[in-house]
Amino acid sequence: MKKVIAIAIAAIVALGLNACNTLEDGYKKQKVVYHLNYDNPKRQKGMLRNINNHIKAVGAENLDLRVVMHGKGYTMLQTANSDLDLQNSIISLKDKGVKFQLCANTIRGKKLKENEMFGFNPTTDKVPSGVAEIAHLQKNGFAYIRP
Amino acid sequence: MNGKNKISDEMLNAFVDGQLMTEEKEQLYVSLSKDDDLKKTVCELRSGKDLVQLAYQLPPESSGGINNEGDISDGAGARHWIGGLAASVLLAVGVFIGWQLGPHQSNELIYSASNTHGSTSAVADDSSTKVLFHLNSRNPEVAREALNELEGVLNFYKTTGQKARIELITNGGGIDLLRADTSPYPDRIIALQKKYPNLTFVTCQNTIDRLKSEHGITARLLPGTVVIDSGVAQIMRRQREGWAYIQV
Repeated sequence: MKKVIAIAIAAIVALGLNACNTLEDGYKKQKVVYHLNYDNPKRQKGMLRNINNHIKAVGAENLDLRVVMHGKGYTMLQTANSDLDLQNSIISLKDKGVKFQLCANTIRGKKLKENEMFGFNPTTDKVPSGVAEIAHLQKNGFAYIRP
Repeated sequence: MNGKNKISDEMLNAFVDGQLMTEEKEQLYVSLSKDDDLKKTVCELRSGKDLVQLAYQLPPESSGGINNEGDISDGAGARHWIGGLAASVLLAVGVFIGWQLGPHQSNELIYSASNTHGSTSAVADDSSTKVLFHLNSRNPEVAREALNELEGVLNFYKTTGQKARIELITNGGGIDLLRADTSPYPDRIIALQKKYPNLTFVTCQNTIDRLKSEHGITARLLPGTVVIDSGVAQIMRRQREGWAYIQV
């Protein structure tokens, strides 16, 4: 019983110290996965704005940020072919280190043409299963956000 | 537990621990839908189980299970000894039955035994990937996408030989997918459960209560649907237990 209390107190003290550090230094390194599986273009653009603000607040050098697309999320890359604003947002986020990843199951299931996806590189931007990728990332400390 | 129903305490405990086979779960759901006392008992068992899991998670490196139990039950020494003995006897009986039932059935018993181990030991020990899907929309198109995603990931883990547990939690409008009279895809849900024993469909008691109080609707659920106290609380519990969370 004493041992349990000691561990609990140690944990609380450690947590407290941690919180103080965070307050003094601003945000530390963050790992984040944004989940995109909807086809509403307004909502998709809103998500890209959220990501941009996220990078501004935390700093690109402190962020490992991935966008995982599956289901209807791929439509963003189709729309971008004919939407210059969207193209610019995607390019600018990629310059800041954001990785856009598309689910191979979706590509197969919906019979998508990879060369019709804006800025898509099949060797680096394809994950075997979008859902399994998101689960894997969360297991490795990534926060999950679906705006 | 009073004598008016045929469901034993052992069966309820197995149910709460997720150890029942689909047919047994179906049977129990029929009884649950008719018996409010039974529902209450299940609810109490569930919250008890959650408390025990919390207590186990707190001291990750303590010297053994018996000490932990002692802390929880205020040191009633003789009781764990009897509990331990009872558990060993149960285990022996289980192994014997498993062996008697032949290779197929015994595999299932071993599977559920390892499941139990996973749920009571520290989260890091459990190597299986656990994914919680959350559906709160009554839009049939969204529900269909959700089932597609569930099936896709179940198939992915199966073909890559990874152990996984998948749960779909529905609340708000999402419950319609699991209601017998509103579900757009009842056959598909039953087929998925048969094909993947590591998949569970879950809905929320708060949502069921609200359907009743606001719309006068008594929710009749598809067989195999598990009811938990609160969808939001379940999402928090699962994430704390190391489950990945995905909103569909």
